[in-house]
Amino acid sequence: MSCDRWQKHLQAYTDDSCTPEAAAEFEAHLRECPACAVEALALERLKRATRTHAMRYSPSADFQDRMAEMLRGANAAADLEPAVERPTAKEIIRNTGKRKGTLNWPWMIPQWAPTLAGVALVVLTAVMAGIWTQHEAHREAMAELVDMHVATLASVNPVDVVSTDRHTVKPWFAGKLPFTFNLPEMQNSAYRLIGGKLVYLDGRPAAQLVYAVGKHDISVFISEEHPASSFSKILSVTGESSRREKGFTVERWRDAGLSYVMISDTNSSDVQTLAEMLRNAARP
Amino acid sequence: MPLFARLFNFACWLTQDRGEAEELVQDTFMKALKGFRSFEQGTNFRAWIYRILRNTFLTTRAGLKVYDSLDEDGAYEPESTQTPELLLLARSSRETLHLALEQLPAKFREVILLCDLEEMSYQEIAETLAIPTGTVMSRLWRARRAMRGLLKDMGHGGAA
Repeated sequence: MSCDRWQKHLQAYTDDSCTPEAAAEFEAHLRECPACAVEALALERLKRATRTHAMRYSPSADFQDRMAEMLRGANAAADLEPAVERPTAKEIIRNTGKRKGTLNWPWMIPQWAPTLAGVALVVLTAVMAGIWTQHEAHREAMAELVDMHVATLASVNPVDVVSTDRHTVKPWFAGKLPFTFNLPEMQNSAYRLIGGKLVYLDGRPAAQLVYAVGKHDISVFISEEHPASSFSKILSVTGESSRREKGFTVERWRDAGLSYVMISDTNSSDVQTLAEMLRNAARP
Repeated sequence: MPLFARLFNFACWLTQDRGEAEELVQDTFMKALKGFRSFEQGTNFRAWIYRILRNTFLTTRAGLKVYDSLDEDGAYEPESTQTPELLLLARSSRETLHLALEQLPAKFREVILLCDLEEMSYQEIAETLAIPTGTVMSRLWRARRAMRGLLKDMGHGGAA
C-alpha cells in the first residue's frame, strides 16, 4: 500500500495531471519509497491495459452507412426548412402595430442560414477530427517511446551491444537496419555511451542508443523517416523541439532522412548538449 | 463524423448492447446537430458531445437503472488490494480486462473509460459528467480500487 500522504499525488501523477513542480517532488519520493513506486507502476499498468484493450467495439459497416445517410438527410432537411409560410412584413406590422425596424426576429433570418450552419458544422467536425486524430497518434507514439525508455532502464540487460566505443556500437547495427548513422566521440565529455539495441516501432526497425550522464540515462531513438512511423507522428504534431512528457525531457529533430528522439529524466540542458553532439556527428 | 467510432465504443460499454448503443449514438448525433447552436465556441467539443451521449443514456430505462444502483458515498466498496493484480495485468489478456470492466458499476466504468481510454483531463471529465473536479478524482480513485479488486478476484478465482 502506498503512503497515505502521497495517494492523491500518485493518481494525479499517473494521469499526467500534476504541475511540473508536484511531479518532480513526487518523483523524488518515488526514488525513496518502494511501496509508492510499486503502486505507481500498478496504476500505470492498469491505465495502459485499459487504453490498449478497452477500444472493444466497432460500429458495423451497415450502421456507419445508416448514420451517414441520416446525417445527409438531416442536412437536406435543414436546406428545405424555410418552406413554412411566412407572414408578409405588412401583415406583421398590421398585426403587431410595430414599425418595420422591430419585426419579430425569426423572420429576419436569411433562407441560406441553415445551409451555412450545416457547412459550418461539417467544417468544424472535419477540423476537430483532424486535430484529434493527430493528437491521439502523437500521444500513443510518445507513450510507446517513454515506455521503451523506462523498460530499458528497468531491464537487467538494457542493451544488446554493451560498449562505450562508438566504433563497436555502430558496426553492430550493420545489416540490422536499413540505414546507418554517425555517433559522436565521447572522450573528454560528461557523457558515456553504454550501448545500443535494435527496437521495432510500428513494425519498422530502429536503433536505441543508451548514454549516461551523471546518474541519469538518456535513450536516443533513431529511425528512418516514414509517414507511418511513430517518430514522424511525433515530429508532425509538434515540430522539432524540446519539451516535457510525463516528467521526462524529450528532444527531437530530423536530419538527412532520419528522425531522432531523445528521452531522459535528466535536465533539458544535458539532453540538448548531447543532441548537439549527435547533430554535429551527423554532419559530413 | 468526428469521434463516431469512439462514441460508439463508449455507448457499447454503457449499454452493454450493440443495438441500444446504435440507437444511442444515432440520437446523440441528431441532438448534437439540432443543438449545435448551443455549442459555444471555445468550449470543449469532445466533452460536449460525450455529455450529450451520456445524458441521452440517462434518460433511458436502462440508464436510470444502472446509475441509480450506486450512490456517491459508496455502497460498492470492493476490497482494496495491494499489488497481486500487477502480475495478472502483466500477462493479462484482453478478456480479463473486459470482464473486469463489465462487472464494474456504470459510474466507475465510465470514469475509467473517459480517463484512461479517452485520455480526458479531470476538467474534461468534470464537464462531461457535470460533477466537480474533486468528485472526478475521488470517483476515479474508488473506481480503480474496485477494478483492481475485481482483477485480484479473477486471478484468485480463475475467472481470467
